Amino acid sequence: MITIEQKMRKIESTTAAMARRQATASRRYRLLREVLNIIKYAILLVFAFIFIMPFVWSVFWALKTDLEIGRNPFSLPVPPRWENIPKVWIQGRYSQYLPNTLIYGFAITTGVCFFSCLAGYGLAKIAFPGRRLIFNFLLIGLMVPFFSLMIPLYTMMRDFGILGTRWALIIPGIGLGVPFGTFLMRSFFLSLPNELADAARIDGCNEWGVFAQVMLPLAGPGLTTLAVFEFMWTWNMFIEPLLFIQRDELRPVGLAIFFFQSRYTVDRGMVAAGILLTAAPIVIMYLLLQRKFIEGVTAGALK
Amino acid sequence: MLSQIRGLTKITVRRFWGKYGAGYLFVLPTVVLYLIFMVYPFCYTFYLSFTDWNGASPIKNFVGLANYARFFRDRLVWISLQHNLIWMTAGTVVPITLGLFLAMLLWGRPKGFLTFRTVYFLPQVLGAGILGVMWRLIYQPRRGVLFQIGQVLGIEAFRYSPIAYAHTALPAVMVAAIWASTGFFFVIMLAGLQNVDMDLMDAAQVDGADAWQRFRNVVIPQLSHVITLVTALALIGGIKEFGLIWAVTQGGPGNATEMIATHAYTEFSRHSDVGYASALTMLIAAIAFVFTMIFILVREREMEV
Amino acid sequence: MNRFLLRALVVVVILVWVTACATPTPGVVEVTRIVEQKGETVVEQVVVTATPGVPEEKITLLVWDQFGGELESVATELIYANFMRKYPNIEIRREVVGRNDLLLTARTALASGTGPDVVYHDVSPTRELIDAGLILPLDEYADQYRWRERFYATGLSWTIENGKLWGLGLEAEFVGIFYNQSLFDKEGMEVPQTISEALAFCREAKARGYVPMAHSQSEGWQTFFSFTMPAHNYVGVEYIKDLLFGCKGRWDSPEIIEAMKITYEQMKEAGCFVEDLNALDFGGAIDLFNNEEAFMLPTGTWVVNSILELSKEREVKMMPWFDMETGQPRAYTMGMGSAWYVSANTKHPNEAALFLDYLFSDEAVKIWIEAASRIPPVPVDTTQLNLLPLQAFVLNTLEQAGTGQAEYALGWDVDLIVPEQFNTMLSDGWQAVWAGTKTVEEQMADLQQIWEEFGPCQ
Repeated sequence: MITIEQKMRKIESTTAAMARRQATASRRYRLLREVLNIIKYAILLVFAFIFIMPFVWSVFWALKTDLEIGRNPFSLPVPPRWENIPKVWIQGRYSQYLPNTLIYGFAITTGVCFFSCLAGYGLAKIAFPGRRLIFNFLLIGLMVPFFSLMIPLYTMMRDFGILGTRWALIIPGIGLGVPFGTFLMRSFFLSLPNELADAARIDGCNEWGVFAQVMLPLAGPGLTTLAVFEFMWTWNMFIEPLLFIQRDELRPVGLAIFFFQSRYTVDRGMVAAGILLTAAPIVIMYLLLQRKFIEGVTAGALK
Repeated sequence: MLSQIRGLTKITVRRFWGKYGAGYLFVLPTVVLYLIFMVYPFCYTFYLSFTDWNGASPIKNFVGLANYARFFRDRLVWISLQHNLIWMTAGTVVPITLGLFLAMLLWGRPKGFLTFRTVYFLPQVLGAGILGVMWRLIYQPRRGVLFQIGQVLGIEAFRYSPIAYAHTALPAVMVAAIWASTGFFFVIMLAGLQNVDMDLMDAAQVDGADAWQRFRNVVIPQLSHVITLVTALALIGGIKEFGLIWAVTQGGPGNATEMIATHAYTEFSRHSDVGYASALTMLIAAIAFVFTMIFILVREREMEV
Repeated sequence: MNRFLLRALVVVVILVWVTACATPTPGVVEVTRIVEQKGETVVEQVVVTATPGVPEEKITLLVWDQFGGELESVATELIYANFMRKYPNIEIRREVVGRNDLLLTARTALASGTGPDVVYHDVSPTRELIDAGLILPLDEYADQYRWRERFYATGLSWTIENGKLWGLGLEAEFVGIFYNQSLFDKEGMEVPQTISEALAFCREAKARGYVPMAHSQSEGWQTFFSFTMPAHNYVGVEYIKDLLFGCKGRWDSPEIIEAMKITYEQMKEAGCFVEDLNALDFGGAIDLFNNEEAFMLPTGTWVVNSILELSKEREVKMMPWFDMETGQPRAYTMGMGSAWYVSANTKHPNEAALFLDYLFSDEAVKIWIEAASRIPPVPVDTTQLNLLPLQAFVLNTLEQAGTGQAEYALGWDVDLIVPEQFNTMLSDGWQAVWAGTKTVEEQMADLQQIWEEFGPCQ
């Protein structure tokens, strides 16, 4: 937090610096700066081009048949095969799979956010012994690829009797997302000042009160970050639903790819169209939440 | 005397609980979930690494350390480790440096800031599956983007598809990985830069420091937390790397892009050697653990400073 | 449960299994299921009366198959729907999974006692499931439904292990070289029949800017065929047969090495294949053939659906690999794509067998062949079918193979017989050889070593 004095000092030094800069600037410097500016924009545009071109190509592929892609992968789709999109919708069963994906996305994201918030806050703001140990312990969860855990997890789901239901994906999904979530939320809570918490405690709030009424409202940006990441990862899930869901009507969108390929070949046009339909909601979500997302990443990253 | 001690203990316990109890309660649900869904499976996999199980049979024979001893005979393990090392190094340094560079360029919020920020982040939303299709088409022989660029610009080297040859396959897949991951680091760096104190920058400029010195002595130290964070994440990701490699080359051609995780997956799924695959998983976890520990120690040292 | 008891139980299981096999009761299927209950391995012996009949209450069969592609998925749904209409008490619940993922999920599910009732599984990886007691033996049903009379023996042989029948193969296939006769005519060139002609042809075709043969290696499994076919034609079908089934001979024998050198050195040097072979995937190879940039496509009959359009406008034919000029006959190598199996843990074995039988009924076979281009190993009345020339050719060749009247010699797709580690070495090794990081001799030595370590001859 910046105090009034600090703010005043900052304004003074900035204006002083600006004055100094004015004094030293001459026409030659201005020209140099213009040239550097142009170079800067050139570099920015080149990279923007590099990052966006493959997406543009994906759009091309989505509007071509596989044969056309084979003939000329990077040309404009002429004529554009708009029928790929309804095909993905029907043949790729998107009309069924999309609602499922939304359900899983929201359920898992909510679960991860909820538990990570609680744990992150506890690890950050309550100085209980063993918190470092618990935190380090949780970090180990980031280290292992999923397929190594899949068989014991499968047996567990079987024993719980939830195989073939939505819970078989949601519950382990939350469990697997919690290490990263806790990591992130703890960092974010660490960056929030303790004075507010202390003030609330002096006022007689218990820990839950401090959390729910003081800290949580401030957790918006961090929570948004976590939500976007989790939602994005849940949206792209493939092997987990394949393993645990086992009912066609409960499948998420990631499994639609089976309808775009046969044993030896892939229909690249359909895959691209499917990807665009899949990625669109995430991109929209990202665009809408951009500001909060960046703020959240800032605070989480700094501590 | 005894009752006094007992009385004191009761008060201490109650005070302990009152002071710290909430902390444990906050953390409890998460820890429970974690124990059930990560620790137990992990331990089970650890147990499997001492068997010769094939994933189907009801019989699991205990074979002791045989799977681990096999590491020394298995040349694929050493080839994979080399590749992982290269991947971890370049896959950490390049996207972070690139991300930082782009973030520096956008620091002053020039025109188009929002657009650039969105575009640079976009590759992150794609999953491994589409990335595989995408980059295989880019590197396609006779037709791919690389080939066409080579034709247009007259670059002889681009005539050859890099994922066809052993010495260019790994760099080629890394280009794909860097393309996909730079956005992540860029966004974090950009955010981190917002909190660099401008006063110090101005002061340094007045003192006669040029751009490079300002960068090295003002920006970098203020970003040290961020840099440590992303470096650790990148390193851990690098040892665990599987999805993108599998989608583009499946570890080929001829093991030129084989990683520990792809080797483990091949043993797990194709060769039905779940025991050995579990041992390889333990190797991944062990290496990641070492790096995480180093990361934590460095961070703790910094936090005390 | 301590280790000794566990081992004793296993012995009991084996004994029971053996005795069950030794004394079959007609009309009765004895199923020994090995189940994990409360962490212990328990043997459940269930006796089922194998009645080919219609169930009385409503039941559901869980079926996992691989038919995701556009045409084949529709075809499969149609067949299932027809079945459900015929037997309204049986509901088929279908899951479509891609081949690689299906192997993994089926294994996991079946091993834990859950999963599908009926699964369309690859032949070779099913062996370990059979050994683990997870697959229902079908001999009794075979008698009831008279499958041995209906199916070609060669077709059934793929799913016979230890003398018992475990599944019904659907995709009889063989591997050879497809070629675009019209393109040859247009360029005024002869279709090469011997390896010398092939090398000369390659040089000429490459000089004219074509890719002579659209072989691909990016996924790796294509090496199974660039290995099998030349080997068969060089050393002869008998040699390979002895090697695979008789434990006679070696993979790194001078003859096989010579055969592979011809493919991976001489054909490479003559420019027969795309230079960046390891980066070309199967789809890319099909592209080359469909775009008429390549004359020949060395692969199996499963590709027919992908080149069907081309075959409508051009004359597309098929032949075995070239005569390697060693006096051995040219051979098509035979295989079986995948087969229908029943889980040993199914609650409805009779209905599952009924379903399996229906899948090979005349009306179903018609749909398999016409819509999905899958040829079941059963005799087919071709007059009833609506086939394009290419499909008809494949069908006829398989008929001839099934009835023992084949025009060419018949070999084996070795990848369906050898252990998986061998296949991985084929994929990785031949990619390395092409990329120049390994010699042919080293590759054959590695293959021999893997054969000795993991193969059946020990």
